[in-house]
Amino acid sequence: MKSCPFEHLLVSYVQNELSADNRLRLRNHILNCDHCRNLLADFTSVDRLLQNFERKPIPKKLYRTYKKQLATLYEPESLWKNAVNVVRRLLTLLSSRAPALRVARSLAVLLIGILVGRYFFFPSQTPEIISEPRTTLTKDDIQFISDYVVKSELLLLTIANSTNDEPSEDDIFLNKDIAQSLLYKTAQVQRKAHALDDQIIITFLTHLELVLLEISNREDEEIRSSFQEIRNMVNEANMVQKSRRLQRRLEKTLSENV
Amino acid sequence: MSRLTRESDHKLVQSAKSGSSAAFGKLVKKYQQKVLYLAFDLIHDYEDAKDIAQEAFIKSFEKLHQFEERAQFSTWLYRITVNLAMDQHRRRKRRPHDSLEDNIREIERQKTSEQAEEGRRSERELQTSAQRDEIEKALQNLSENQRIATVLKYFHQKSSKEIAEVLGCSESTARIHLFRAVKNMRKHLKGIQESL
Repeated sequence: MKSCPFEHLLVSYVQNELSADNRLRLRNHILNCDHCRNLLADFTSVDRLLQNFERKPIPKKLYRTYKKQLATLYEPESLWKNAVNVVRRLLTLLSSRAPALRVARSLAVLLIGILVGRYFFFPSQTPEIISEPRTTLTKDDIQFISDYVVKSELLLLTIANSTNDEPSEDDIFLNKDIAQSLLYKTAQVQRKAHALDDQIIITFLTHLELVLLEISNREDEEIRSSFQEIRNMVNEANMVQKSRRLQRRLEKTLSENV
Repeated sequence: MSRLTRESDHKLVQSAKSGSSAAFGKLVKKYQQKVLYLAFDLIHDYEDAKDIAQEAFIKSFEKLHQFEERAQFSTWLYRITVNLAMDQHRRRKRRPHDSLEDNIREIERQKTSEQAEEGRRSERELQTSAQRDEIEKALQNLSENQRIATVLKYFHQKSSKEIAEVLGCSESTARIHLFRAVKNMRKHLKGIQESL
């Protein structure tokens, strides 16, 4: 017999992979089939040979490299390794011979040179801002500001309450006189107001200075023609009321002691 | 494979699928040696086997989300490895010059190492080595499917069902591949069998 329809089951029989029924049936068949019996003997010995086969061990060095390379698949790289990689890449980039990189490198060196040179040879020439030392205000200083504001109220009232659009020569003379005397003290008062660091007083003094300049720097004729504008300026800015409020504020400051 | 191992593989695969690199790391550590041996058993070159095993893990990592767990993870991984090894084997066949050079290099390397070791080997060891060479030669003469079936059965203790899953065929076809493989090997190994 050259072949048997059951022969392909022999390997499974040897390897004990058949169900109990099939195994029993095949065993009965083998007892009566010379071909399968001979084949089974051969298969058993081949099976034994293969079962006992000892592979050549994998070279240790190769296995180590293999494991190390595999580890990169699941092990996140440590911080220092990343840093080393960045430095390595940077060095590679720096040593590159690509024309664009060479130009960029030269520009970077030039820029660094300029910055270093500027720092050493041309130190900053920006003038230092010397802040005025703040003087401590005395009671007299506050009184000085208060007197100034009272006097300004007199002028402002005269302007605001004037019904005549063209003031008389005497009125102009009086107003001009008061304005000039106030203007004379303006810088001094402003300095003290800044020292007091009171924004309301500072704003009022700025407005007042404009009015004083309008009156004191002009000819009588000019004042007369533009008197209406000056009056509007005083009224629109509520300068009389502001002056009164300021006086109260300064009195309060005085009573609280400086 | 025990139920416990299968369950633990399932858990690890689930974790790896949800992005745990530690879980995938455990799977790699568990199968790295087996996969390397499988690749070597199929193509008989350590360097190529190493590359194939690495590629198999990379591929499994990339395709893990596609793995539906109809088979065990190990079977799926073995299938990837077997496919890669067979591709490499076919590529080698298409480049006979390279393969010839490789073979000459391999033979020379083996000869040198054999000469160096010969003095230290006992007679028994030499006999084992000769047997091993004969078995390897007999394996090389088998067809692709027969070789895969034999390697999986005898060197990786896989059942006919698992072999069928790796080969992508029915269980009975896998048994026939195995039967033919043993039948063919029987002829090549006759001499050894007689000497035993």
